[in-house]
Amino acid sequence: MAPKPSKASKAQPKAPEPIKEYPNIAAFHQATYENSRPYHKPLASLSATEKTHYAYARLLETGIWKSWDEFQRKDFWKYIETNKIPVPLPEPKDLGRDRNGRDISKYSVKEYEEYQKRERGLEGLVRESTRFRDRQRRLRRSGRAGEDIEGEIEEERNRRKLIGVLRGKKMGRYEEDPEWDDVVPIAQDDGEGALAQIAYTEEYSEAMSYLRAVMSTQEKTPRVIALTSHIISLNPAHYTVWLYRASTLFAINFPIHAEIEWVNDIALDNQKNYQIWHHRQLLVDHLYQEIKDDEAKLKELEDSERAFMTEMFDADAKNYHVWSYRQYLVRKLNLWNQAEIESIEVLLKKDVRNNSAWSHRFFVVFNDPKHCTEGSPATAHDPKIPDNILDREIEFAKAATFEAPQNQSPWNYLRGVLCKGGRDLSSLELFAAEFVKEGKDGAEEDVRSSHALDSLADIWAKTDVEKAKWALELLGNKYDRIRKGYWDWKIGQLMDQPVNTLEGNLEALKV
Amino acid sequence: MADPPEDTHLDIPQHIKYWKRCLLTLLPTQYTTTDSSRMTLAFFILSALDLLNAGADTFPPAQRTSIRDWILKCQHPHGGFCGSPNHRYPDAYYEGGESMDPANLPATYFALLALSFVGGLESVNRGACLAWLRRLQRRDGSFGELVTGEGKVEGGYDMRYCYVLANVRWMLRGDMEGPVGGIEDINVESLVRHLKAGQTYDGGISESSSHEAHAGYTYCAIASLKILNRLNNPDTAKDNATSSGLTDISATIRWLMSRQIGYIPDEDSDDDNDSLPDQDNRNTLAGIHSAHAIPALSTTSPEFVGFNGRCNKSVDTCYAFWVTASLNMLNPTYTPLVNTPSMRRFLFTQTQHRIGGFSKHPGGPPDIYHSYLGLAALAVMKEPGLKELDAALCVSREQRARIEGVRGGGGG
Ligand SMILES: [Zn+2]
Repeated sequence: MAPKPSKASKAQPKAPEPIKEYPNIAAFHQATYENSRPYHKPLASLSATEKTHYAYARLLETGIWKSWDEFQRKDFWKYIETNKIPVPLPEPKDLGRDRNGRDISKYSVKEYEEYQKRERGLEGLVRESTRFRDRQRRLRRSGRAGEDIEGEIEEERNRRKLIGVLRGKKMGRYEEDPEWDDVVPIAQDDGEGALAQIAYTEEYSEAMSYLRAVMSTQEKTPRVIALTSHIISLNPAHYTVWLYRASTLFAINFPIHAEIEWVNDIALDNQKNYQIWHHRQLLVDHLYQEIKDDEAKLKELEDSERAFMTEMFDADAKNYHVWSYRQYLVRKLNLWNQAEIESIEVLLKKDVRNNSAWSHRFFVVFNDPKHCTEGSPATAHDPKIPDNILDREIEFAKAATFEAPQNQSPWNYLRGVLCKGGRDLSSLELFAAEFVKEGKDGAEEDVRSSHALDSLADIWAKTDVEKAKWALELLGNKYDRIRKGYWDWKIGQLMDQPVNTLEGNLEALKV
Repeated sequence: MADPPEDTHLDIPQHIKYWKRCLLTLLPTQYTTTDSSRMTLAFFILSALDLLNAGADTFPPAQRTSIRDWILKCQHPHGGFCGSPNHRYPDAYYEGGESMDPANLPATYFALLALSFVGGLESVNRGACLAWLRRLQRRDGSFGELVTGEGKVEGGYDMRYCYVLANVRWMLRGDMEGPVGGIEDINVESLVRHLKAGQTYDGGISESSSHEAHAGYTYCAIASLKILNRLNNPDTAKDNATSSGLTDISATIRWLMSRQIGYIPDEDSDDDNDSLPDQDNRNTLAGIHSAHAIPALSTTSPEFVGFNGRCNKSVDTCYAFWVTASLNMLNPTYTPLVNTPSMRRFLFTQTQHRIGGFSKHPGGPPDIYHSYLGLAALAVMKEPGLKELDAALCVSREQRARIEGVRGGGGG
């Protein structure tokens, strides 16, 4: 039997004391190396005894003694121990760099000691963690998944945190969490030639690879809700995440009110996002089925939804998604009521130029099943609409026009109402003329609204072509010069001239 | 805020640089929110370079091949394309017939267009894609953006889906109506009815007649009709006037023309909506958005003309495209009705960026979407140095001709 290595190590020369005269671990290793080879000098400078010792040292280094018989080896080691011949150490290797990119050979001796200790600790933890995963896998295979051997999972969670600290790099959220060990993430495969590659964060990449995995197995569990919340916080425009979240919510009977609360915050933080509003519709559709026979609950939903939209409108009163959703809600909850109209009036008081609010008013007034023909488009005459409603809307728009004559929204609204009521635009002539005073006896005209001129031009086109032309010329040359090309084209149409005089008109326009 | 213009022109070399950067380098992390629509960005990059005469035909062949492979890799095994590799699983996952993450309609449109820049459409699973289009149509004629594994059409009501549908159909079927390769067509009549029903009381178009008119939706509806050959044009439209065209075309023209807004740069602030130092002056400007100031009528002629997408909203680069392209499709002679010199000045000095590309609002950073639509708007207006644009397809006329050459199907 070969002597135990420990025996050999006893014969090792005493390592030089790790004291501060070694500037770093590399210097210390170099010194240790040199101390292990005291006879590695020119042969001529060695005494006869030293030469013998050198020969023994060489035998040690080559390891040839291992092929000898036991008797020879015993003798050999006895000599080495007696004469304290050091075992020649191999030349120190480059220690490489640590996880922060620092050159390890520049570590102090003390630092290096700690480093080694840490690495040994880390290896132990990783071994333990691997054992944990194996154990859990076996449990899952035998159908005993989720069985937590008292506190083991929590212990493992902490272990992975520690591994992260020791590695100097936190594990990903899902890699670190033992509850996700049963999921094998599916990484994104971009391949070569990928266009529009994005500098994803590691956090996003990891979360997405877990989403792909749960979708592939159609897992619908509470942890999927957490995963989708996480991804939505990183990329709220990912439509599949929203759709998968919704189907999961419904599959596990997640409380809808809690989800609406959650989605409120997301919506406030992501004003431009569309998916949120589609999601909200799915939620309300679902909730509606549950509460449709409960008046009080329906009223509660109406109020809370309106309150939330008001909050959204505080940030952007023209948010297209919110207004689309609002139309959906009016139809769904039958909100053809005074509260809805008043809520729009509040917004118009704040900003009479809010065209979205005008548009919504038009929708609420002219789609109300109480007095409208179902499915009548916005551009069609609906004979069912009572005169008092048409008059009310006309008065409302006129009042807003007096407030701000150059605001196009109520002018458009007026045209829309007249069309709905089958009334002629010429019924606006007197009103529009309030904003367009023709100058008497060569005096300059007084025009306060280009939209009034535009309306008058359309009205006069059927009755007095010269006046219509005058209005269009005023628009193109003075009151709405941005659109000169358009007004001149209208004159051309009015005069039944071919459109190709346009080029000439455009020449005049060039600045 | 950009400095007042000394030299107002389209800085073509800078734009090419901008797009080459987009082509060759990682997009910054902020683009994560576009992760589902990387195919859209891919199309913008390839098509912008094409408009700038630096398109994929100038790339090394190996690069073209690898781009082509990447696009095809996003093809869904059951027809259509995914918007990005993040929606596409490895092949083995679909073997049991699962749809996994379903194909997406806009992604399919952008993928087909992008493919046309780097090769043909022969590797597209045409039959499966055409069959899938039929499943995307709703009873009212509109289209969703995807069909779930349970067969539910998802994606809300959005004219954009009708537009991309019309394009995909055109690229894969040609001008053929009726069955192609044994696959029935979508219901074109109900789609046309849906498109026509989108006109609003003020003459614009929206996702339905009861919503607020929007220049983007207006473009999508007009372009869809154009591609379906159903726009009021005596030469090409179907005879049946009731099934073709817009409900009230002169109202639509009026609404489109109203999108032009006199824009006066605000010297002291990066925010063009609020905190104006000179409120009185501000009040005299016609049509500039401000929540607080109600502009009165003005007789001054603004130096810059921008475009908004809805009545009383602020200017935004992309609406220059949605509006001018809409006019162009209604009738090419309408395009010059736009105040082109002031519009060019606005784009060149207010949203064109020093590093190339265009921003959404004056003074902002450039982004891929607005950089493309800024170029597209100028190309509609025949800007020298740019290839001329096909307004309906939103690619150069040259590229449209190339697609007509490779699309096969029943096409010419
Ligand atoms: Zn925009």
